[in-house]
Amino acid sequence: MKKILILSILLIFGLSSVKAGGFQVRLQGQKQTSMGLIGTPMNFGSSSIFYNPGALAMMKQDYSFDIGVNLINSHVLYQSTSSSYSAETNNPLSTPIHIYGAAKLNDKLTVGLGFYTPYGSTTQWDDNWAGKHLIQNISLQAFFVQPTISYKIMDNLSIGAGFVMVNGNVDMQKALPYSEESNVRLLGTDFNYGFNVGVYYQATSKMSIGLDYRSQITMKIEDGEARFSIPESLETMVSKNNKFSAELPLPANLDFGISYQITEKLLAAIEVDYIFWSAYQEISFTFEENGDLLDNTNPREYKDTFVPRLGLEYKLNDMFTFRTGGYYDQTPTNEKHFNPETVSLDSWAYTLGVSIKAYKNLGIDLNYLGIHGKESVKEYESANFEGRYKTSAAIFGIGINYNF
Amino acid sequence: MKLKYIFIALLPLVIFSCKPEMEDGFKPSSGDADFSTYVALGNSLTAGYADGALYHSAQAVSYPSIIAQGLQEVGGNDFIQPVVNSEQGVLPGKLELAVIDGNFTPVPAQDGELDPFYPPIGYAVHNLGVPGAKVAHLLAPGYGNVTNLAAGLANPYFVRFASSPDVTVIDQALSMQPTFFSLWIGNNDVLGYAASGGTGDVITPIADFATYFGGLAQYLNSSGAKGVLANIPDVTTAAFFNTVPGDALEVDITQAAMINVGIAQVESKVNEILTMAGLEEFSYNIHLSSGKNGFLIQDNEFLYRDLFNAIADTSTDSEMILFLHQAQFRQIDLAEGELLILLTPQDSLAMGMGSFFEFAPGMLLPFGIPSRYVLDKTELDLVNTATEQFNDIIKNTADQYGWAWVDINSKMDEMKDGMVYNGVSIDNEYVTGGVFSLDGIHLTPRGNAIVADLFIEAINKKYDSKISSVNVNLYPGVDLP
Repeated sequence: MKKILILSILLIFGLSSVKAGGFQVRLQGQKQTSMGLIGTPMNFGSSSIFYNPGALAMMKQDYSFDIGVNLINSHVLYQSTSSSYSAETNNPLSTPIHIYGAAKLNDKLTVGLGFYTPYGSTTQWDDNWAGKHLIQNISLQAFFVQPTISYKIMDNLSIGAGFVMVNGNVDMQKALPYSEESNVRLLGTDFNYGFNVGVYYQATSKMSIGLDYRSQITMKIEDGEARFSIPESLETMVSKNNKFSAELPLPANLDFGISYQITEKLLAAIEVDYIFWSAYQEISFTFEENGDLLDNTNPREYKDTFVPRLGLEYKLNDMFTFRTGGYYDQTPTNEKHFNPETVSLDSWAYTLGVSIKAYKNLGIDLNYLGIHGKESVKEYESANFEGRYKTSAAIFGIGINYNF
Repeated sequence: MKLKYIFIALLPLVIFSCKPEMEDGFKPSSGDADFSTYVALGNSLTAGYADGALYHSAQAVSYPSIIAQGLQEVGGNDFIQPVVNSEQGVLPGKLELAVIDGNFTPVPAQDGELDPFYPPIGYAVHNLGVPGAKVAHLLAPGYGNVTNLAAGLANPYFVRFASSPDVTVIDQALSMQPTFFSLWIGNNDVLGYAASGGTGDVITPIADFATYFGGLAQYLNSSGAKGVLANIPDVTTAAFFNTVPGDALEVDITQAAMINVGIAQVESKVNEILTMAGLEEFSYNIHLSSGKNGFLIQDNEFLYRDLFNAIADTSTDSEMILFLHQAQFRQIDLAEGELLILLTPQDSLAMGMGSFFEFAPGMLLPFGIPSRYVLDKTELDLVNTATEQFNDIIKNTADQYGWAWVDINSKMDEMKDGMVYNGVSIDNEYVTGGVFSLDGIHLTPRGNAIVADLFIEAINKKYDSKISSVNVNLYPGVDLP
């Protein structure tokens, strides 16, 4: 009898973690963010460390520093397809930051160091919402540090490479069906690394081209903490404090962009990003104790996605530059394995921003990004969990840069 | 000039906190039915009985009250139940879960004083579910009359809320002027028989069932209300009949040998008697091996039943009488689906009841599980036939009057293999399955939610309405200690 009881945990262990698709927004530079997140063919100083290390050697000044923060206010709406039941996330404001510094060592060689947090979000559902047995809340934080070197091969061609070090944390909780209060919380951390390489080519005086590849980084949680809040009567069967291991890929990205100076004041840019989400086929959890009962594998079967972006820049005068842009981000999720822990929908996004040359070498950037996930009906088949979802995010950012 | 640009730049702050809203989505509607006054008729399942009692918190989540919540979105008025204030119930019998020797075990609950069932509560109710009611009882005058209790003609649960002593349940229901009704009745017409292993109560004869059920339907139809009928589940799908495994006589090789010797001894003694009576040699054809074996059960159709009983009646040798009764046993026939009920004393099963006991030093006597704990194949056939026939009547009645029809029977059958609701797996397993309460027959809040959901699905289908489905997993199963 008890064995069967525990077996029923298996299915509900469908946890995963990464904040995907719709929220894998690359808020690693205010100017890029303002232009539909286009950065590969742009030369915006030290923030190229993230967007295209190849462009770093092309920076105009000898030193470039850039610091910025974004406030992300995101919402996920859920509605049952067969009832008027609805639920909404109550996500706390998340605030990813980035800090870059770069210096020209000589005419050819530029080095830099970047710190950024591309996955810094929290999804918090009500503890007693309809999908509580799938997820109650999940938060993922990943801190990236990237020392970078960039080399100008010719006056109009430069390359760059960065070594990416990641410290990631995951913290998630879901309800268990044994009593009102039963739940399991999983906490894990990992340090891992990858790379970021890029090429920047000034094709003509008006046109530049950029290509960037960021490698997949697989987060491997070993000895993660699994805390079971379960009725006393089950404690003899399931250890309250267990250890688990799991692997989660942060997918590779291949970005290609072109910018074109249409008039002296107006610049247009396009970019296409290919995101290798298909690396995320499943997520498995292995437990140190009670493995025969708890170990489980959950299909995800993500597919690669392709993000087209468009951006415009208008330089009003020496003081003000305005930018705007937009993009369409497809969901990488599989139709049959849509788990509310990662609500990622096909999304439209538009961006706005202004750069103000405030004082001598000091610039201030403001940006706004609005993301609208398309209302869609999705299903997590193995849990028989279906619903209508809609998402939105409003992101406001401010940055300061100092170049000399 | 500059100020203007700064203003434009700050504009995003204003729209920063916009939230999404659904454009499409579920819109409740009443379709072709009028749900303003909903009345529920039925037995203990309708009343909200659980864990062997009708108590406050279980009653609050009876399936009709869950349905009524959904109906509120489509014009339903308040749904009033005959509220039990006590957590212990109206009559004794409530169970709670304890862990004894590492096993989940139901034990008598201590949740305070019982609610009195007399005098009546004195207000009109929409839930007229009466625990214990059979189909005929809904038409019986005096079923709620306290003076009829002693004669067994009244039911204390109906006494509690009967609007007058001699009103019938159906008349009281119609006096509420329902615009919509649900009727789920008939379970007790087979359950009483099945749950006592065929030893107590009788199955309602099919002709009587047809008459009573038809009568109820006529009354309901005459009121002009629309409604929904539900069929009765095959009672053997309930946890009550599926928790005590019939093959749990687990023995090692020594014990098996010992019992086989015991059977041989009993057999030779039986044959001595048969020889004296000039009858042919008899064999039990039972051979235990190490591992799991089917239990021994009392054999109601023992070949020499009459002979043995006759000898026992005339004998004065108490040891002999005991032997003659005990020798009437056989092994449970699991291939035929024979079942043991939940109330089978479990602590004495292993190597005790269901096998042999050492009557005197060196003397083994068979200890067949008494018939009242066993649903044998003859009884199973009767139960199955009655269930099928009753369900045919229910379905035909629904068709005849154009009412919605809920196939509870199929759902409970599916439940044997389990199903998944919003990430929670449920099945008909006792305690852990989440559907059956501690008495093994009545439902948990989650079980009620599933039933309510089935009713709503059937109503929506028939009347083209859109009543919200039920969030099954927000209702608890059996909370573990």
